[in-house]
Amino acid sequence: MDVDKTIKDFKKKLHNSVDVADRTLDKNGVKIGFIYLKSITDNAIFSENIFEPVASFQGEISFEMLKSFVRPNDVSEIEQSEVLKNILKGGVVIFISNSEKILAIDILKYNTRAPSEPPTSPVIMGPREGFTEDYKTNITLLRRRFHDENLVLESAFVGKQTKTQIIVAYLHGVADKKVIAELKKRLKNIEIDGIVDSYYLLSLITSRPNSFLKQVGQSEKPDIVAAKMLEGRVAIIVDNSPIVLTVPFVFLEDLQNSNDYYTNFTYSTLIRFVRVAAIILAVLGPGTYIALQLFHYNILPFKYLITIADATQQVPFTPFIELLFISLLFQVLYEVSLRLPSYLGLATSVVGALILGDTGVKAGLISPPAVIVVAIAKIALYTIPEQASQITLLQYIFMIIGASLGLLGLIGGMIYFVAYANTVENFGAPYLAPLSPFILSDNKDGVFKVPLDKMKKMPKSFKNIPTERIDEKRLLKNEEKSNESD
Amino acid sequence: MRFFCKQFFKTPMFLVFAVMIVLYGFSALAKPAEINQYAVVTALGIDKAENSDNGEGTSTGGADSVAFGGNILSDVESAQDEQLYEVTLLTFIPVAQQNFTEKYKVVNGKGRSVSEAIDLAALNIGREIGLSHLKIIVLSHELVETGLFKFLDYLLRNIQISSSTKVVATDEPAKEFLEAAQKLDNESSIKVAEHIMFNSDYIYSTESSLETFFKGTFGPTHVGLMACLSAKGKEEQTTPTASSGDGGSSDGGGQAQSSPDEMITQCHVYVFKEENLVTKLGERDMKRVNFVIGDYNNGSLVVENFSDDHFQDANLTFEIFDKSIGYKIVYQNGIPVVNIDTSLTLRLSEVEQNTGILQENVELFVITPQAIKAVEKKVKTSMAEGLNIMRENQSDIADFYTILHNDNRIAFHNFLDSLENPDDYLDRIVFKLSVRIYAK
Amino acid sequence: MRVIDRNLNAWQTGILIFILLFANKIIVLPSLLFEGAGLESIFMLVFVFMFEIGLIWLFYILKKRYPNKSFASVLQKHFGEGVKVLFFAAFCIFFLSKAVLLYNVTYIFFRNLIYKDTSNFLILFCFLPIINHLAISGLRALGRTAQMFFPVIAGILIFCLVVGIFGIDSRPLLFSNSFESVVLTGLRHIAPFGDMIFLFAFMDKIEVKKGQWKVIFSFAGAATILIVAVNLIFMLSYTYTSFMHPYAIFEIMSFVKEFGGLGRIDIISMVLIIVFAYFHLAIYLKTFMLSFHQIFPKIDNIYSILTFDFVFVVIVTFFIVNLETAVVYGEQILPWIAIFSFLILPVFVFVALLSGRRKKKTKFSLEAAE
Repeated sequence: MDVDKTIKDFKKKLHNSVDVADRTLDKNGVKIGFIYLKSITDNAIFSENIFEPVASFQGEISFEMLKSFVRPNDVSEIEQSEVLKNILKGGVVIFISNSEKILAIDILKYNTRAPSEPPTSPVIMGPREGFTEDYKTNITLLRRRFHDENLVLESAFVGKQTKTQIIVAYLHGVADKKVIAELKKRLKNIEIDGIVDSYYLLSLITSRPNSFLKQVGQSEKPDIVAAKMLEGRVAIIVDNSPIVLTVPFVFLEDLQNSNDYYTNFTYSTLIRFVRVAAIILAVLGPGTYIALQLFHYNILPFKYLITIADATQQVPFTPFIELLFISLLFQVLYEVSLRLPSYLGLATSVVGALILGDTGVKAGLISPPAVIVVAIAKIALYTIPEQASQITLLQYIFMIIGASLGLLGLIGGMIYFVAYANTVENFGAPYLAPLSPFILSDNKDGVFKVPLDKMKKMPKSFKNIPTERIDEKRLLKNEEKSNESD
Repeated sequence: MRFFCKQFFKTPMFLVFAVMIVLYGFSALAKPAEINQYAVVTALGIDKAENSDNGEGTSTGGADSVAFGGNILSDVESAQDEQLYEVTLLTFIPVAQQNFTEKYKVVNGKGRSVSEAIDLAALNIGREIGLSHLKIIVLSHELVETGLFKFLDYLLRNIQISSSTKVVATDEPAKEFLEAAQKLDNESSIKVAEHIMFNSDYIYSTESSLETFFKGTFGPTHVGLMACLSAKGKEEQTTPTASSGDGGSSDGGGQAQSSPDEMITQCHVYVFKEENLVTKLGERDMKRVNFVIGDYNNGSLVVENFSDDHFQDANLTFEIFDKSIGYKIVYQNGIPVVNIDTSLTLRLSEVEQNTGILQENVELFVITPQAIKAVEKKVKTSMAEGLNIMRENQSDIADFYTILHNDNRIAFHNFLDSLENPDDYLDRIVFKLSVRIYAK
Repeated sequence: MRVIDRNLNAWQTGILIFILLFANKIIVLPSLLFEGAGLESIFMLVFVFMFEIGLIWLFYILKKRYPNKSFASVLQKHFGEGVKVLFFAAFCIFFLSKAVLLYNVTYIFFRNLIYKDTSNFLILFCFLPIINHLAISGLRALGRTAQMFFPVIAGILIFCLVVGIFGIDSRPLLFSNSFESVVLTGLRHIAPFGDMIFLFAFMDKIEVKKGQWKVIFSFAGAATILIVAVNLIFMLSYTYTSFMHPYAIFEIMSFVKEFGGLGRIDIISMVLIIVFAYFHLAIYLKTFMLSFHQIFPKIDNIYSILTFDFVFVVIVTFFIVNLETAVVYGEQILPWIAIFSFLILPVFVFVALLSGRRKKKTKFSLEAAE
């Protein structure tokens, strides 16, 4: 092999990028060439454990000898076609002139964030670890939770340009084979230039991609993902994303919060009811308020009627415009506060709450009841932040329905959306299970929450293999297997 | 864009949504709140109007109020001989303010029927009349005495009016009653309504709602009761203030000053039978009748001139905690004998005696056997008087008809058939009274 | 358009039965029954309900005999194609008529109490897209949606009943109506009954596992008890004034409209009536759709929905527009349709069952002879 030419060729293929590094050694007429990317490899390992042993060797060197010199463990023999892939994955590729064989050593290293508490799902009492952008760290976080040979991690690459590493993680014997096969099939069929974040994947593996409903679970916390995998779900770790996806997904999953599992079950049940009430309030609150104002003043209790009537007299807008205006104002403030640095956040809230809200009311531009209704609805929305975008959308739809058709339209709308959600099944899981279809055993961890020792059955809302959480037969089989191997 | 268009036409619901926005959504943007289109009526007064003042504005009695009528009675003028009704509506009109007082107006309208009068009142106020929050209907005594049922049809058919709406008669014109009642509490008309409702509930223990009135009227006894209230007091000390200027209303909220001595007082109960006014029962009469009826508890019972070992010539007032009445019916020679067994649970609440000194040996809460006997006697007398009132007026207020019918249908109807005039059945029934007193 | 139809389980079937049993029975019917035959009309109500549950029982026997067959195939097998078509045509007319009656009663309720004199168009605009969607989404989605709303329905019903009990303050005359008047009143107002024949149209789409029939019968029993309770509470609350109160479930909340510090709570019963109306109409439409498909198997299902929509809109817009005509329609025209559900259909089902048994016996004897 002409080492110089080969290295030159590969450098050309990498467009002579600045982080491409190469070294050559001449050992008694045998040329050894190294090529790697400086930006994603551990330079210390390269020089101390790879380059230095080879350079200090005296005598004629062969490929087999070279293989034994290098100290890192992740050494493999590769084909010519795999060279680029290995370089790009953080490996050093070694060519030797007296052999056609090529050696690749994985010395990938880049700066990663340490696992920290994710901002989207903090807990009061519970593990504070969160996934990071590095898939290897994420695998470690999962491995630490399963000291069991049944944890399976399968690799895939998605994205023509990005070739993003995807890890499909599941528990063998727990996750349903059809679900795993279907997921792999969907991953294989993805035609996309690149996966920048797991959200890209989320919309590509759903059965109804055009639906506004969220059909894949997302979590930043390894404890949540581990719990979901224990129930037979499949996790999808996407490199460069701290959000791990899980399938199959049912709506009620988002109603459950990790805090629920680290507090008393009675309190968790109460809080879940509060969340259900919050969703209803968020979705229907503004719409109902408009409907009552525009169509049904007569069914309002008199005391509320006079309060609302007096308060809205000064407002120059019609009720619908007023509510749209306040909602829009809140949405603008929300968007701004998301993007502004935290030290400006306080200023935004002062402007939003005091100047726009209070002054707006005092100036008679908006009425206090409308501000209260919108504020409650918008706050209630974030009791389930994972569903915030869907609920916001529904909120606006129901506002329009309420203003157009009144109470009858609102209830019709509710029936429509429930019926629509009932037509959605992803990976064989009915979207609204275990409420409809009603599955009694799954409701032990649905809107209600029972103590852990009462949850012996595996969920039936989606496909999984065992029927009991502690499947004696399966455990016995595993034991026998390990005895045999001993 | 193409994606959205494709989705739009692929999903029929999107089309429906779009059509909804076009048909209703855009108009909703411009639609005002319903409360701005309706005048919410909390109290409705109905009076008989004088034919002579057709087309004329009349004073509504309040210093700051003027009645409507001038611009609306072209139809009415042609009907000089017809009976006219004047409705007075206590309406809530929202005003821009941030304190907790509401503004009310008294609005009038006259017409040949109640609905016409209400329509004309609506024309005057420039808003539709909303009766769904109506809490009380006040009828003038004139109407009650001459022809109540002519206009009750309106109240019966109007779907907006709840059957739990209180209906009371008043000694003065309903218009004056409402204006006076409003002045009782110039802060809130809800309180006026509550006030009136409290009175009608507790003064006579007569619920006096539309439902109870109709239930009695359409029931087998055809007897309907209606409470009569009066808003009277010392001479009005109302300070005249500026009227709202629209020539047809008297403003309530915050402007009219109430007379501190004005109050809603008890009058009596009207008893109707088969669409006719039979009698007026005063407070004492009603209390007597109530002793025979199980549903109503009387607040107190006074035994006068009572003397025993502890008291001398004392008036003992007992608080009635509980009252239950059992009816036992037997037929003797085809005539029903009704044993009315009344149980009363009492507590001595007040003693008034001439000596003015409390007896040393009397334990405060113990009712002596002599007192119990006296109470028994008093109750029996009251019950007998109550039954006599019903007999005299041929008004089965206690609904003995149903009690007897449900007890023994055949025997009772045989008894009715044996009577020359079945309406006299109360006269022929034999009542036996027994009273049991328990001390609390 | 794709109409998705997958099967219903026992719970969903039970809930659909529960919901449909209420159709037209808790709004105007109690008032009319009391007016006609006083408190004794309750006996007639219970009696007719026995027939209604008898229809479910008949379905149970038929389903046991022909577990995987559709009613159409059973009819075709025993009576031929012509009878099958006639039967399903009758189904179409029956459910369309029922939908018209229900719509009118609820429309008048909405117009009077929720919307103030709103146009028929707005109410139709609310109903038609939703019931069409429910029919298109398929039986499973319909069943699941009903299942989702069931706790709301049951909760409100029980709340209304509990609150209604506090409104009872009448002493009605007992046994003041003749047997004849009770029976005649029952027959005159039989139109709201007989809906349970919808099960026959759904026959092959209902999957009932062993031991789950009791779920279905429990739901039917619960609905019967609740309907009788609503009727009874209404009649005891409004004895002699029942004619003034045509909206029973709403009216029993009337005396407690001002509920402590809350104010009016009758909005709760309004919500119940609205939810019921949507589901009733959707089930009627779905049954119409399935029956239409049996008559015209080659025509796409969407045309059956369009046919229903068109005929329904024409009838409710031009012919029946007020309570009086709706009551006349319900009292004079529709009772005749009940003959189909309570007489003709059961007779044919019995014949099918008997002939099936006879054939089985014959087959057995032939086998024995061989």
